[in-house]
Amino acid sequence: MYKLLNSKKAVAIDDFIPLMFAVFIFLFAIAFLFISNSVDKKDNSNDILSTQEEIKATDNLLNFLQLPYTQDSTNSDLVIAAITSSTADSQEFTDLKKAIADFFDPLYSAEKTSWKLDIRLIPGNDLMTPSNILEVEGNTYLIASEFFSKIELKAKAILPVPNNRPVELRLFIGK
Amino acid sequence: MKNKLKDSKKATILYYIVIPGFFLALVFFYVSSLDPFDTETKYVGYKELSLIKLSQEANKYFLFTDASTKLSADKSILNLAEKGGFALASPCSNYLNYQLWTAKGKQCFPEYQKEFSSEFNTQINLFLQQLPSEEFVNFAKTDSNSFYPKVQSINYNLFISKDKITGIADKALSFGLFISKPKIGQYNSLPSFNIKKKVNTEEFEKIESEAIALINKCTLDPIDECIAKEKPSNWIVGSCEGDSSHEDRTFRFCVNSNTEITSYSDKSKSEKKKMQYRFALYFPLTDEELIPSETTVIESPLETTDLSSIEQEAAKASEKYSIDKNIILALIQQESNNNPNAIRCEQSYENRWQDLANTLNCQQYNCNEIIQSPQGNFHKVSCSYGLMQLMYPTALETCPEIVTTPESLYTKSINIDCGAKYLSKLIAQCGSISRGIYAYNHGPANCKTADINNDSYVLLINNKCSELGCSLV
Repeated sequence: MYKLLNSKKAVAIDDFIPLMFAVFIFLFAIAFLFISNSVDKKDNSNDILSTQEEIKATDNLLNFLQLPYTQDSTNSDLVIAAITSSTADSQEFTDLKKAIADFFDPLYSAEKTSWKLDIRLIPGNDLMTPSNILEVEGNTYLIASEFFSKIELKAKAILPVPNNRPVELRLFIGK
Repeated sequence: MKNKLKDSKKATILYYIVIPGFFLALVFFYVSSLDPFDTETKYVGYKELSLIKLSQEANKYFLFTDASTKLSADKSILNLAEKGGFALASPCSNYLNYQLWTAKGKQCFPEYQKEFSSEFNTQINLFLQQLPSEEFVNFAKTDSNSFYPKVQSINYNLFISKDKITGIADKALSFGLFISKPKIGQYNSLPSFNIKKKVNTEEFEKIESEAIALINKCTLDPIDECIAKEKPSNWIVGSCEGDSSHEDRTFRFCVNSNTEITSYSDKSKSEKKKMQYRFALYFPLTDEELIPSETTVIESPLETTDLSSIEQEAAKASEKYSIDKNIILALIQQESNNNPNAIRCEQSYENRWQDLANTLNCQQYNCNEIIQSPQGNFHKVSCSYGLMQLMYPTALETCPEIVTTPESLYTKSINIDCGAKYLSKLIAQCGSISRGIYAYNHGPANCKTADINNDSYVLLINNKCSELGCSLV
């Protein structure tokens, strides 16, 4: 080796050996990182799809709640009125069921996607006493349902209720 | 040099190590700039999608506050009616939990807009406390970022018109998006709302006017008979629960309104409820118990002036009435902040002033001080003018030779001369400079016996006097 280095021809080749060695290490490191990265993120497409569905569902839910119900009120007000109405067969409940179906059915039936919206008082707050609504209507009030293979929670919104825990709206979308 | 280096065995080994080492350093630099170990950034576009989610989360928050504003407005209107128009308590105290609007020598009618703002902000922040804080960190728990560091309180500035309530928050709310510690996005918004007023809040002002009219009519015993005869038909004497007991000249009242408003039971059941206004009134008996004027204050804007001319006039008055010049200057500074055009007016609305207007000697008193409002109520407006804040009737009585009109009190020489003359008269009448100063602010009625050592006005003038190098002793 030492003799080789002393040869004039060999010196020219010799100059490239460390460089080639370094380039080899460099390429190996880059290849390693890209491979490991792609292994980590092999499920990325599912994550992106899921996030996009969440954003779309949240948009739909917010649009529904901000939609005018009467000249001076929105569907948010209708939800609160229905939740605080005296009976489960009140006019507000009937109107709310209709408003939900009228809004979400055309949206999701076109995509042949099942959906479900439930409205319930947020559980788990010990400071609040249980409401009559939960006792009368059950823990979850199912407004509309269309069961289809798998259905997942995609959007949530919260509205205030006087003298009680807030009410939570949960939009489930089928796959 | 190169050949010598290569000829050395040690140098050759070093040569093999240094160059790859250099490239390895480059690789690590490249790798760290790529940040492949940032596990929270799961995929390309993750941060961008998170920013969209941030705006949605902020919109959810505002959806909650918007719905809360309507509920808070209804609750505030109902609460204020039942608490006599006070968000907290009446300065006149209460009688059997009914807030007093009048007391001996005092009137405490609520300023509806101010009290409504206070009650409304209390109510809306109670609703905001309902927001489960974990709800807004759910995203943080699952995705290792955080939208809501803490649910913030909101304070709205309110504007109540005939049919609308408009509110604008006094500060913007910020929602930050944090990924791997640094904040990569922020959503700012100044919350505001504009809602329809469901209840006619002017009803409150009408009841206040009726209360004033009733107090003015019923001054003599038997007071309960007078109240029963003169009260408006929808007023009930006693509590809303039917207890009509009263104490001497203090009565509770319950006024039933035809306006309906949604109220909520403890179990959140809504019901339509007719508004009931609850308050108590004290009916003053003697002239000493007349309600003093302390309602509206109009103050002039400050005007800077030439201090040397004020000092010259004070020196002349000092010589003329034998009062220390600096005492006069201290008084001027306290009363008007050296503004010769200062004016401060207070007005009270009482039908009693109608009699005063009829019997008034217009040469002695300023007839312009009695005015009639569009509602037919008589207001007495008392103004203090100029550098030493003299009231026109007082100045006219003290210095008839120089004071001709209220406007003449804006003239520096007239105002200081007359003010100093009035002060010298009070000092002589009350027995000392301190007592004279006390009487200058409170009136001469009890200047000889008042506790002047603890009087805030005397202490203020004393402090100013010390700064100027004089003493009240």
